[in-house]
Amino acid sequence: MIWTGPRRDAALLVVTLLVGTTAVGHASIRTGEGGDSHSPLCSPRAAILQTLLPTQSEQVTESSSDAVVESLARALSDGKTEKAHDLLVQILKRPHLTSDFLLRVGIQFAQRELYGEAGEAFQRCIQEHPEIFEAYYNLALADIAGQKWDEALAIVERAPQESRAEVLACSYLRGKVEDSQGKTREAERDLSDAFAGAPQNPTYAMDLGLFYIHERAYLQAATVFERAAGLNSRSSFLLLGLSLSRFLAGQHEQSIATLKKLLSMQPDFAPAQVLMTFVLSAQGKLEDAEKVARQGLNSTRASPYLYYLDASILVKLQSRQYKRIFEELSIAQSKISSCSLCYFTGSKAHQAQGNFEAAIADLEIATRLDPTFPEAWYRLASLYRRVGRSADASRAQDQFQELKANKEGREIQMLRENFLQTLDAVQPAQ
Amino acid sequence: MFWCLLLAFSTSVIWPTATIAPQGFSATPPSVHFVDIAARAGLTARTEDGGERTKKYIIETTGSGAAFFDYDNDGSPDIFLVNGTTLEGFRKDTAPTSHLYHNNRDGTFTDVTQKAHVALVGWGQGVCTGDYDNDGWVDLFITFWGHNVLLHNNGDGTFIDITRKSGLWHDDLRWSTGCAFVDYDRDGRLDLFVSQYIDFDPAKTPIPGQSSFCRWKGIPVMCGPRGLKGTRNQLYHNNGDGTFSDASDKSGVARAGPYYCFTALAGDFDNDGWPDIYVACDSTPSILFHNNHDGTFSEIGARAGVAYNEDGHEQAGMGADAADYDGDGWLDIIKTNFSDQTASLYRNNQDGTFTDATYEAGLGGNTQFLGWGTLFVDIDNDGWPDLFMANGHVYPELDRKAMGSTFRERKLLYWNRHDGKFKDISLNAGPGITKPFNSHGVAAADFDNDGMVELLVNNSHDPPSLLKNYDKHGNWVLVKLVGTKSNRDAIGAQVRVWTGGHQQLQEVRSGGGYISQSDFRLHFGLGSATKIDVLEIRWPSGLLEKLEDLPPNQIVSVKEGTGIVKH
Repeated sequence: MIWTGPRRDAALLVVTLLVGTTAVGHASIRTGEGGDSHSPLCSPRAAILQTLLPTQSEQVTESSSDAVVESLARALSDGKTEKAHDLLVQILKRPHLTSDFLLRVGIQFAQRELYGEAGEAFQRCIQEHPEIFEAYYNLALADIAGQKWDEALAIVERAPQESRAEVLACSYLRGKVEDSQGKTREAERDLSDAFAGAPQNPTYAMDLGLFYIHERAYLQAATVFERAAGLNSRSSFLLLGLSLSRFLAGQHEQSIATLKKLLSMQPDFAPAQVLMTFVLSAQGKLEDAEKVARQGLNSTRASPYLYYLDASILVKLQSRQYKRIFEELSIAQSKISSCSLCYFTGSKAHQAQGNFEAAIADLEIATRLDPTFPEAWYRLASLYRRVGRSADASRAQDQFQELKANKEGREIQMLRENFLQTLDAVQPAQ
Repeated sequence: MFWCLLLAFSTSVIWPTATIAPQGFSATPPSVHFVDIAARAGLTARTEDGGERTKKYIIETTGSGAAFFDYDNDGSPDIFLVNGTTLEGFRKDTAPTSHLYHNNRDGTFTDVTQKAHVALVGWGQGVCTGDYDNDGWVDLFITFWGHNVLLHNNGDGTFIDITRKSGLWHDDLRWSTGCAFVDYDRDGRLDLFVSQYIDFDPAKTPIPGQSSFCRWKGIPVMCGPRGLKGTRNQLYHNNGDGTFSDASDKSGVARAGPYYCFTALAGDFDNDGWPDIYVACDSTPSILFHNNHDGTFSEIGARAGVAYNEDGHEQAGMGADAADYDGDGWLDIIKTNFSDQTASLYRNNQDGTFTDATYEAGLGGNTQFLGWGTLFVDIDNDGWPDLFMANGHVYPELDRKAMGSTFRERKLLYWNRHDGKFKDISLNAGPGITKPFNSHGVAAADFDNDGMVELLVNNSHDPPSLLKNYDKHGNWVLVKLVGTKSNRDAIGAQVRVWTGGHQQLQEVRSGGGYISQSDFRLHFGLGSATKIDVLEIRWPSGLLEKLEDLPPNQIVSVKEGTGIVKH
C-alpha cells in the first residue's frame, strides 16, 4: 500500500461486475509486515472497501471491539440500518477508541455504501489519532463518494504526508476529486504523478487509465495499462483495461492479442469474452466473433451481453437460426435492464423472416423502453412505411430527425459504458 | 451479322425483370491478376495533397479526381488527372498542375498538358466531363477549393477556360468537390450539378488538437468536417447559348443542407425516365434528389433509405457508384465511408426506396479501410458487376501510432457471386490491388480496347495507378452512344443487355466514383455467351432502340435514331 506499517487483517472483497450476472471478481488485500498491503481503488466505494483497514497500533479491548464490529456487520448484513446507526451512535459516545477499531467500524458502513456513517467513524479517528494517515485517506474517499468535493480536498490537505507513499496517495486523491469536478488538466497531472511514483500500484494505474478512456485519450490509456500490466502480469482487470483502450484506440489486433492472453489465464472471464466478441464483430470478422461468443455461452457464468452480441452477430450474418436468436435475446432481455437494443435486434430478425408486424412490435417496445433511441425510430419509420402506415411513419421519422443517431452508435455506447462501469467498480487483482 | 433495329418512343418504360444467371456461368471466383502499369504507360506525375506526414487542415485530406475521356475522338480514352497543392505552396515554375495524357494507342500515354492548355494549379478536387454545347467535342469541368474551371474543348487538341464567359464564375472562394453534367430537364442540353464540401476558411479553422473535433481516438488531428460550417449544393441550368444560370434555388437543390458533400451520382433510380441525383455526404445525411419532371427536385434521401446506414447513422460518405448488381433491372448504389464503418450497399426495392444490403451482400467486413473511389465494374466479364474500392486514410499520424489503419491502404476488390452477395478477392487479385496507396479518385475504361476494363486511380503523394487485369476473361461488348435529339454524349441513356435470360443495366454517366469521370462507353461482360440476345437503349429523349442478335467482342457505336454506325 501507500504507507508502510503492520497490518493484521485481510479482507476478501467481492466485487460485483456489471458485466455478468453474478459476482465474478474477487480481490484480496494483502497483509504483511512493513510491506505495501493494499491499494486505493478507482471507485470511491471500492476504494474504501479496500483501504479501510484497521491499524495494529492499539490493542485496547480487542475482543470487545471485535464483538462490536461483528454486531455491526450482522446488523448491516441483515439490512437493519437503523440498528447499525444506533450502534454507531453508541460507539462514538465511548471515549478513547482505538484507530484500529474506528477504521473497522468505518469499513462496515462503507461496505454498505453508507458513506455518511463511515465518514463519522473516520472523522472520529482523525480527532483521536491525528497521526493516522489511513483515517484521512478513507474519510476523503467517503467524501468523494458523497460528492463532497471541497470537504475531500480539505481532508487531503490536512493529512500528514510523512512518506513518499503518503504524498503519492494524496496526489491520487486530489486527482480523483479534480476528475469528478471536471478539472481535467489538474486531474491528469495529479493522477499521473501518483502513477509515475508508484506504477506498480494497480489502483493508480486503473484510475489514470480510466481517466484517459473517459477523456477518449485511448492511446494514453493503453500506455498506462500496458505499463501497469507489465508490473502486475496476473491482473485481469488491468489486462481488460488494456484491451479495451487498445480497441477504442483502433488497435484491434493488439486488443485481440491482449484478450487472448487474458482468456488463456481466465477462460471464463466474462468481460473478456464479451470484449473479444465485440472487437471481432467491429472488425467485420463476424464468423470469428460468433465462434468466440458461442464458446463463451457454454460457460455457466456467461454475460447476458454475450447473449445479446451473439444474437446480433447472427442477424448480421443473415443466419436463419431464428429460434436460437430469439432464445438468446430472451435471456438478454431478462437480465439486462430495459434492453432496448435486444428488441431492436429482435426486430431485425423478425424483419429478415418477413414478419413485419412482429418487427414493428419489437421496435415499438424498444422505443417505449428508450424514447431517445434514434436508430429504433429510424427503422420503425421505414417499417411503418413498408406496411403502408404513412402517418405513423411520418411521426417516427420526425422522432428520428429530432434525436438523430450519434456517429458512434448505441451498441458501442452501451458496451463502452458497460466496460467503464465494470472497470470503475473493480479492484485490480493483486 | 444479323441485327434488327426497332424504334419506339417512350417516356416511361416498364422493364422486365430477370434475375437468373446466364447459361454456362458458375459462381466460382475468377483468377484475377491486376498489375499497376502506370509507370510504363508514362503516367508519372505525382499528385499533391498537402502534408504527407502531418495535416494541419482538412483541405489537405480530400485528394483529387481522375478522368477517362476521349478528348480527341480517336476512339481511345485519354486521361485527365486533377492535382492539388500544399499549404506552403510552390514556386510558380514548379507548382504541381493537373495533367492531360493522350492515349498513344499502344499501351502508353503522352503528357500533353501544356500543349492542351490544361495546366491548372491550386487545390484541385473533382472532375467531370460532358459536351455541354453539343459540338461533338467533350468538355471538362474541374472543381476546386477556390474557383471551379470549365474548359471548352476546341476540337484541335486544345482547351480554353471559359468559366467566366459561361456564367460559372463566382467571386467568392468555394470548396466544390463532386460534379456531374446531367440533362435534368431533358431538353437535350447538359446542365451541371456541383456538390460542395465545407465553407472553409483556414483563418477560422482550429488546428489539430484545438477542439474536440480535432482529436481522433485521442490523438490530435486536423479538424473537421464536424465542427466546421457546411454548405449547399449547386445546380446550373444550361441556357443553350454557351452559358449557364444558377438554378440551385429554383430547382430546390439549395434547400438540402447545409451538409458536407462529395461525390455527385446521377442516375434514374426509379426508372421513370428522368435523372435523379444522389450525393454522398460526409458526416451528414447523404442526399437523393428526386426529379419532379418540372425542373425541380425533392430531397428524399431519408425516406428512400439512402441517407443513412441501416440503423440511421450518418456516415462519412465519400465515393459512390450505381449499377444493377443483382440483375433485377434497377440501379443499386454503393457508397464508401470512413474507417470503422462499412461501405453502404443500397439495394433498389423497385418502389422508390432502397434497403441497406451491406451485410447481406457480404460487405460488412474490412472496416479498417477509409474508402474513397468506388466503382461497379465487371472485372472478369462474367456479366455481373463486381466492386472496386480505393482507400487511404486522412490522418498520416496513424502511421506513427499503430492504430489499426494506415495512411496508405490497399484496395478492395469484391467479386459478384451472382446471388446478391460479393466475395472479397482482394488479397488474390495481384499487386495492383494489394500495394498500399493513399488513393482517392477512380475511373474505369477499356483504354486499350481489348475488352477488359482498366482502372485509373489518383493517389495522393504518389503518381497515379493504372491497373490492368492480365488474367483471362469472358466475352464482352463496348457500347458507345451518340445522341442527336438527346445530348451528344448520351449522358443519362440507359442500356440493357440480355444474354441467355440474364439482364444487365448500365447508364451513361458524368461524374461518380469519387469526384471522377469514367469512360462514357459502357462495358458489358458477356461470359461465355456467343451472342447478345437483345441490347436496348433508352435515350434521354425517351427514344427506345432495340438491337438483337449481336455478336460479342466488339465495340458497338449507336447513333440516336440511326442505329449502329461505324466508329
